Amino acid sequence: MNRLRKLPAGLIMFFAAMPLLTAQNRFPKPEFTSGYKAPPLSSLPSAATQLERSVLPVTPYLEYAALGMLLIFLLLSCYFLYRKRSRRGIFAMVLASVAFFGFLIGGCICAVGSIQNVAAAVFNQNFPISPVVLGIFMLPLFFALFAGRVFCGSVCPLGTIQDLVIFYPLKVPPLLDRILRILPLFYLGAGVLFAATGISFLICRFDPFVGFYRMTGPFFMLSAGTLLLLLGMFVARPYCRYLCPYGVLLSWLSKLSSRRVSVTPDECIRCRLCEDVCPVDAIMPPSPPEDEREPMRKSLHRIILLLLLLPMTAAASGVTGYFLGNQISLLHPKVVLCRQVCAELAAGDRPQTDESLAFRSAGTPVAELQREVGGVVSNIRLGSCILGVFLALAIMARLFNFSKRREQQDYQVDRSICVCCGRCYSVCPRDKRNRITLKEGE
Amino acid sequence: MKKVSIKTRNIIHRTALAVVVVASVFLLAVIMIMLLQYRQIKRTEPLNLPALSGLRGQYINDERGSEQLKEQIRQLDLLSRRAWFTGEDQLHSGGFLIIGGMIVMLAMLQVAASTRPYPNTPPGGGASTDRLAARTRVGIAIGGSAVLLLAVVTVFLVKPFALPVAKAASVKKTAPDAQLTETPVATEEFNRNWPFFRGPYTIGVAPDYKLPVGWDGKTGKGILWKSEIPLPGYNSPVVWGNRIFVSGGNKQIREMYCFNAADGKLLWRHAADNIPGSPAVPPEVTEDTGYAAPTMATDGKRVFAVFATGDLVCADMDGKRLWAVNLGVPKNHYGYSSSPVIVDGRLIVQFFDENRQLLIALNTVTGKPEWSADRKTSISWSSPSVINVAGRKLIVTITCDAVETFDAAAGNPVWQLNCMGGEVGTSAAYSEGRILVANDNACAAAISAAAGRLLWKTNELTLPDVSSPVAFENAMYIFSSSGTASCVDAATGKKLWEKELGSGFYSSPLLVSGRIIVFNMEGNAFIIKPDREKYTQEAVCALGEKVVATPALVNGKLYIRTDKFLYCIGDKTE
Repeated sequence: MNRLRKLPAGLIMFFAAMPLLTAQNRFPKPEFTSGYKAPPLSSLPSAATQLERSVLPVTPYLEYAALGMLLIFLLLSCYFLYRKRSRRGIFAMVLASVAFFGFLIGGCICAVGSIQNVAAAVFNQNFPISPVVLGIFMLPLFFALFAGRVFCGSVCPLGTIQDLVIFYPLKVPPLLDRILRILPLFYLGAGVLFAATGISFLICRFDPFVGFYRMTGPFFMLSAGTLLLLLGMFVARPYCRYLCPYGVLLSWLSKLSSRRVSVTPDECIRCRLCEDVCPVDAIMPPSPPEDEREPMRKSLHRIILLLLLLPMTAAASGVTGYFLGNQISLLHPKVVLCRQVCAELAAGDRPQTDESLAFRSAGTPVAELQREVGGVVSNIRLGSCILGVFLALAIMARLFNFSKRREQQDYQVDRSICVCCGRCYSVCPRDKRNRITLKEGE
Repeated sequence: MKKVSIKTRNIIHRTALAVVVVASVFLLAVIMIMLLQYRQIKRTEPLNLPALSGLRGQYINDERGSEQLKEQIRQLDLLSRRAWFTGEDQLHSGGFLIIGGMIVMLAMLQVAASTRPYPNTPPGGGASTDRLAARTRVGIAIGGSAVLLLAVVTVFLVKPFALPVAKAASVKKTAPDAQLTETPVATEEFNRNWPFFRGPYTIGVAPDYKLPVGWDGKTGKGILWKSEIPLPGYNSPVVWGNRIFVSGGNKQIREMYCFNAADGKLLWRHAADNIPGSPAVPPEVTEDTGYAAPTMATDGKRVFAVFATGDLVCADMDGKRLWAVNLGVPKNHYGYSSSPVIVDGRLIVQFFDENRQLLIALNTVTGKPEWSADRKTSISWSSPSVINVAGRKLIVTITCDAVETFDAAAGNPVWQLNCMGGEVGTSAAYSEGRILVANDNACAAAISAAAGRLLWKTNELTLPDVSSPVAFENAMYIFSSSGTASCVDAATGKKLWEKELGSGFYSSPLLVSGRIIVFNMEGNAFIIKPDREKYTQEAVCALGEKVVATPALVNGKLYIRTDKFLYCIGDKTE
């Protein structure tokens, strides 16, 4: 049954990947006659331009090595998590991930950022995407489909650096925690919209930790990363829980996973130590007795009401998104350039920017730029409309989720929230490795 | 693995916490120092230190170019660069210190976390999941609604970008008739003649010919011949080989004339009549513009004339009509005056009136339009110039609002700079990558030809309204209708000198062999040495007749038109 449930998702992933896998660059490399040799193309663009001395130069070889290492890390994480049930093993993977995916290859390209490459390639046929980037995007999702969010726990360089600083994780009030968990939906939607319409790679631009791995970066980026790490000492993995757009995809697929982290290898004694130690509040208590629960009819009525509200909410959100597209388009580089050029034309003595100077030097007619901008704005409006509908559906789905009756016997992990860090293993008193011996008087 | 006792575990826990505190203090200190260093580096411009700039200024002003000063600049420059890069290196080293500190801190944090007192059962327990779910639903609904509301407010409050449509040029292209096109006449051929208004370069610069001086119109000294032109016109002569072309006209008839350059004999005349679309009643024009203000154009095979009626006539060199069209009757309160030019087999006509502002390229062979750019601007009396920017021919036009360039081949607008105003009658000058413009009630300005960037703009000059400027060696020379000659630094717009010369100038100056010749309206030709320092007059020759047209100069002979006559001035011995 579980296998059948995964089949549609697997097929969707496979067919979504097909056009990307067969895509080729439409234009060949220019042939230089001056003797200049073009550097090898890299699918890790920002890394290629920004990596500092501490980071290995990105070569096609390293790209494939990174993909291979990702596969090995995921397999090892599954091994330590499900076969060995070893928090130490997972912690070793965390350190290795920080070293390899973080400092060695500079935190780029990571699966989180690859969302944008894929979105840009899907919506723009001229945007090239290499099989490596596609692999980096797909592999963690594929593993999530079978083994949950193993990628988050011990492979993702953004997650592992936060895992290292967890010191005294406080419990976020459940209501606040659940509301904040909606934020990644917005970030994912905005990231895909921005990448697909060519505004920018938002997720990479505001990647808070890549600056640490490269030991350089904009002040804002480093400050945001520092603040998140400081916060992460007491609120575990704040980026993973309340921002990470890739986590949204992983949590959706992990809901279908057949395997989940099983806190106890034995019978649960309901000591709730796992609930106390879980840094991301993923341990769900058992359902209360039937007489303490709300009647089934009430739950059913609520779901029917939500179903009735769904089309209206989606329509309102889509229309709002469509009109908001006009404002969002102000962020597109072409619109910014067009505004600047038009303003310069309107006021002859307005200072020029480097971009407007380059545009004018290229000799492209302003009318052509304006035509392009018209197309860009239309695309953004459409994308923004779709984003509005998507967000409405996703939020309504959350409401459905909190409206249905939950049946659960013991303390179990919520597969969509659990980041597979293995901390619950280390405290479960039913695990023989955790039994301590007390000396007299202790 | 050996189990540790609780006591030992507590000691390890406390020690780890102490190390964490020390590492945190260390990290904070390093971060603070690095922030200060970062601020310092960001603020410093190593190549533009005030001291360095001061020394550079001294060196530029020091004509002898002191070696000691040069060495001092080099030393300071090196010091400045070294300081900047040292700061960069210190930042990088600081990064490693932070990494080291963080590794220690993280390791100790892990130790402290793993040696914490054993977990206890959390308080509470068994919280009502139904109640929590209900509160969550409310929270999510409120949060979602708030986001939607915020989006709606943003839609209403943030003004979206509206594409300007009025100013955009639309270019209409027509496929040329491939059967009738021919290889355009070579540029060298044009440069050996005087095919357009303000010469073959269209910017008032003559190929390097000898400039006749010492002539006198009243005594006839140096006047080789003088021929009467049948009908009046304010256009200037154009010359190809031994033929001189001018046009003339009145309300009844408009004509082209061809004179023999050797003796001034009228070789032929051609009336611009029987043209489809030509108005039965010509438009009203002012006396000082007339019906034949635009200068003719020729490519050595054909000659072209455009009149205030909008009639455009093409004849061969023997006066036989090849084709003629009416471009539309110009609605123009002074009269149509823009002169056409020829670029790569296309006749470029700036056809501006109160209703239409078109730049049209006609196939010189067929007369069919190849492209036309609709400018949607305002009327102008200026003539287009052609410049070569990075191997690309650009047409420069001046409207009453802006200076604009168009790709000569395709007609696409390249850039537009709104810096003009008033009624513009002058055309552009060009020198060293700068387009220079000057018009009364607007401004004098220099614009980067490649980028369309305004370099400077000034109103502190006596500006012309008919006579176009000319540029030479980083200076622009302008001659106003009130009789003032001015020189402006082409790089900065700074006025270098100004000189009152009496009668006003309508005729445009020509730069010939390092001299400027310009006629004022009294018919006095001023021959001036272009000098940035001061007005340097070398000679004044009087023609004795009013002159508003611009002369042509070919093979050392100066051809100048007056109200009624065409003069040829030169050395009789040549």
